[in-house]
Amino acid sequence: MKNKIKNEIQDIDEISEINEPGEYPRDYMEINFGPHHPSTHGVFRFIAKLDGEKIIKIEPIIGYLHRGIEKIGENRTYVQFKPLVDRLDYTGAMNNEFGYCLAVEKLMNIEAPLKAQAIRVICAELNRICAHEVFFGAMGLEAGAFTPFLFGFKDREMAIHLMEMLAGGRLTFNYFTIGGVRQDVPAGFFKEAKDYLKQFKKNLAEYHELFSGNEIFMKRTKGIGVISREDAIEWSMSGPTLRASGARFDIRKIEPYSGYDKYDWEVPAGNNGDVYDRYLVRMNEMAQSARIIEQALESLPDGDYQTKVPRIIKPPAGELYLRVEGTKGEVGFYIVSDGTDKPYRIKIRTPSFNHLNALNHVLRNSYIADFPLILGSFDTVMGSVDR
Amino acid sequence: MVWWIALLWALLKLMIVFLFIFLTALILIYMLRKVMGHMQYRMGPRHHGPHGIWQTVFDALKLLGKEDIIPDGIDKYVYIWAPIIAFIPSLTVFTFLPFAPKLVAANFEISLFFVLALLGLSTISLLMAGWSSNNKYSLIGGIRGAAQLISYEIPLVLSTIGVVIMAGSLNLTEIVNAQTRIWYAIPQIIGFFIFFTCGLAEINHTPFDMPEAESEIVSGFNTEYSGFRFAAFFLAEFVNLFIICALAVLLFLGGWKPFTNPVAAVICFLIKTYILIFVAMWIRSTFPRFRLDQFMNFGWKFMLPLSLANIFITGLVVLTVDKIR
Amino acid sequence: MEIKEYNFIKIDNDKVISVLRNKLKTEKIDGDFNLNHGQIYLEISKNVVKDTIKLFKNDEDLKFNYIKCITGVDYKNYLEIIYSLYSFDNNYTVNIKAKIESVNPEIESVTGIFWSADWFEREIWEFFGINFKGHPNLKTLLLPDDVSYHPLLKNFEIKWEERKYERPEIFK
Repeated sequence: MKNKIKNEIQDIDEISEINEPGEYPRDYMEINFGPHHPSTHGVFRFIAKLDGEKIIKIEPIIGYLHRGIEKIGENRTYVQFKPLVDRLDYTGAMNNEFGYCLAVEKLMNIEAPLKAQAIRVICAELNRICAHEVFFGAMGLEAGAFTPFLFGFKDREMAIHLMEMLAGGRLTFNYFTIGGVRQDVPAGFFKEAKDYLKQFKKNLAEYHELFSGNEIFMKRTKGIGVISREDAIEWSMSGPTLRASGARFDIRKIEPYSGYDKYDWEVPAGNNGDVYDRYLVRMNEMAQSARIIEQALESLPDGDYQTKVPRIIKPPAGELYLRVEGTKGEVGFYIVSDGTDKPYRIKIRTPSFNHLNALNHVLRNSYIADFPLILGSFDTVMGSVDR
Repeated sequence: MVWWIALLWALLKLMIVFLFIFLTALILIYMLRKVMGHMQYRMGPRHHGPHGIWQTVFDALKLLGKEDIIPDGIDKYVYIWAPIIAFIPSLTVFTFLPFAPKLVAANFEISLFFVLALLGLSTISLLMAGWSSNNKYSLIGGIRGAAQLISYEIPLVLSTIGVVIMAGSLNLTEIVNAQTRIWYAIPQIIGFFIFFTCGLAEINHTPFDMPEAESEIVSGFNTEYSGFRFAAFFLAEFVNLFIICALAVLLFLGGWKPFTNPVAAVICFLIKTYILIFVAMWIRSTFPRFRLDQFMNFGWKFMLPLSLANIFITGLVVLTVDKIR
Repeated sequence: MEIKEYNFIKIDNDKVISVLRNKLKTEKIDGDFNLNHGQIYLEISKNVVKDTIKLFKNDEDLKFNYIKCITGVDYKNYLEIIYSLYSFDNNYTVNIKAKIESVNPEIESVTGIFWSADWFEREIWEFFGINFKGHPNLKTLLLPDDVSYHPLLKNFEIKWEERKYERPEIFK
C-alpha cells in the first residue's frame, strides 16, 4: 500500500515528462487557487495541475491561519485555554468546547449534573444546525445559486439568537465550564426554542424544495467526488463525510456521552459517497438535531447547572484521548496532565485536517467546476485545520 | 432631403438609442437587485432616493469615475478594445429593433439576420478579454465563453427559422405584422423554448454563466478589468438581456400586437419584454450553474437536434397547408 | 455501496488487552499494557512500531483500520509518539506509545500502512523534529518554509516581542 501512494505521486509527475513518440508534448497548466479565492472557505491554497479543465494533481498548502493554539495551551491554565477552543472550528464552537470540557472533566473524574448535560446537548445540536446551515448556503454559492446562501443565513440567525440567549455570544460562546455550563437557561428560552423548531422544520422542507430536488444541482453533484467506505476510513475521515460513504457511524451513538443515548434519533447515512450524498446527509442531520433538541427541551431535568469544582483546576497526572462528534466530524482532544494547573500537552485532532489531506486523492480527474463543490462538501473550516 | 439634415437626423436617432440603452441598463440592474432581493427575503437597495432608485445611477457614476487600471504584462491593444467590442454590437442591435409599427431606427429587409449576426460578435470580445488579460482565470473564462457561444449560436439561429418560414420574411416588423391572427409562441412552442434557453446561454445568464463563474474561476474573463472598462462589460450584459427578451417578444409573442396606436404599441412591447426579463431574473435567483461539459452535451445532443426537428416539422406543416389551399 | 451499520458494542478492556497480548505474543513483540482513564495504552519499543501497526491493521480479528490521531509529547529527556488506533468493526481503541530519544529523533513512517498518516507525520516532524524514515513528502505543513525551530518542544519558549510603534510621517 505504501507503493500505492508513491506510485500515485510518481505517476503524475511522469505523465508530464514522458511523451509517446510522434505525439505532441503534453502541456499542463499550473494554476494557483487561493489563499483568497472565493470558494476555498477561508485561507486555503492549492496549486493545481490542469489538463484542459481537468485537474490531474493538486498540492494543498495550508498554515495561513496557524495560531499555535497547542503551544498556547501549554502555557495557560485549563480554564484560560477554554475560550481558545472556540476559535478552532468557529462555525461549531459549542462542539469544540464540549469535547474539551468532557476531556478535562474525565481527567478530574467529575461529571456534570444531569441538567447541565441536557443543556449542553441542546447547545451542541443548535450549533450543529447553525454549522449545517452555513454549509447549505455555501453549497448553494458554490453551485452558482445565490438564494440558498441567504435562506441558510436567515435561518441560522434565529438559531444564533437562541444561543445568544444562553451564552451571550454569537459565534464564540465560552459557555461550557468545566463541570457544567456558565449560567442557567433564561426565562422565555423554552418558548422561543419551540417556536424556532417549528419554523425550522418548515424552512427545511422549503430548502429541499428549492435546492435538493433541483435537476441541475443533482446533475452537478451526483457521481462526483466519490469516496468509497474503505477509502474514507483509510483517510481517517469522519462525521458526515464518512456517513455519506456508506458507514452509519456516529460517535454520539457508538460512544454515547452526555446522555445522547437517552434520546430517540437516527443516524442518516448515504450509500454513494458522492457530493450529493454528503449534502443530503447534512440536511437530514439537521432534522435529527431538531429532534434531539425537542426531546431534550421536554425532558430537561431540574437541579444544578454546575457541579462543584475546585477553584484552581488541577487534574491528577494522567493522559487521555477523548473524542466527540463535532459538526464536521470527529473532534478529539489528547491531553497530558502532569498534575499542575497547566496542561502538559494538548493535541487537538480536527476532522477538516484529515479531509484536506485526502483532497488530492478525491479531486483527481475531476473538472475545475467540480472543485468548489467537492471542497465545499467536506465543509472545511480553516481555523480548525491550521489551529 | 438636404444631406446635412439627413446626417443630423441619423445622429439624433443614434443619440436616442444610446440614451435608451443606458437607461435600460440602469433600470435592469436596479430591477435585478430588487427582484432578487425580494425573492431572498431582503429588500435590495434602500437608501438613495425612494426605494433606492438612484443606487444604480450612483454605482454607474462610481464605476465611471474610478481609476483606469491597466495591469502589467497584458496585450495592451486587445485589452483596451475588448470592452468596446463587447458594447458596440449591443448598441448597434438597437437600431434594428422595432418598438412600434414605424418606430425603428433602421428598417431593412434582413434585419433579423443582421441582429443575430451582431449578437454573435460578442464572442470575440470574451476571447479578447480572456486572452489579453495575462491571467489564467481569465483565459479559462474566455475559452469557456467562446466554446459556449459557438455551440449555442447554432440552435439559437435555427430556432428562429421556424418563425421565418411561417412569416415568410426576415424583416422584424413584418414578422410582427404576420402575427395578427396568432402569436408564434403557440405553433412554435418548441422554437420559443429553444430560443429563450439558448438566448440566455448566449448572454451568459444564469444557469449558463460559466465564463464568469465566480466560485470556480474568480470572475472569469473580466477578472482583470475595473472602472469603466468593467462597466462596459457589465452594461453590455444587461443590454444583451434586454435584446434577447425583446427579440423573443418580437419573434414569438407578437411584439406590440394587439395595439397599433404607436404609444400603446411601445408600452405593450416594453411590458411584454419586461415580463420576460422578470422570468430570466427569476431563473437567475433560483437555479445553480451547469457544468461546462454537461452544458455542451445539452447543447449539441439535445438542443441542436430539437431545433432541426422543429424546422423540419414546421416546413412540412406549412407546405401541406399551402397545398390544401 | 451498501450502508454498513455500526452499533454500540460494549467493550471489556481486560478482554481486549488479553486479545492484543496474544496477538503480540505470536509475533514476538514485547509490550506493556496499562489502563489510564479507561483507555488502553500499549508501550512498545520504537523499532517495532511499524510492525505492530501493520499487524493490528491487517489482522482479521482486530482490524484496526482507522487512525484517530497521531501525536507526540516532549518529556524533556525523551520524546514520545502516540498512535491512537480504532477498529470500526470491534469498537476497540488502542493507544500505542513509543519512546524516542531526544537527540536526532527518528522513527519509521507508517504512511505506507495508513494514507492518513501523511499529514499527521508531517505535522509532528515540523513541531517536534522527529524524522520519519520513508515518508514520501516530508515538508513543512503549518509553519513557514524557513523556520529553524520546533515549537512544541519544551525548550522552545513563547517570547513576547515588543515592537515600537512609530507614527507614519503623514500623521505627524
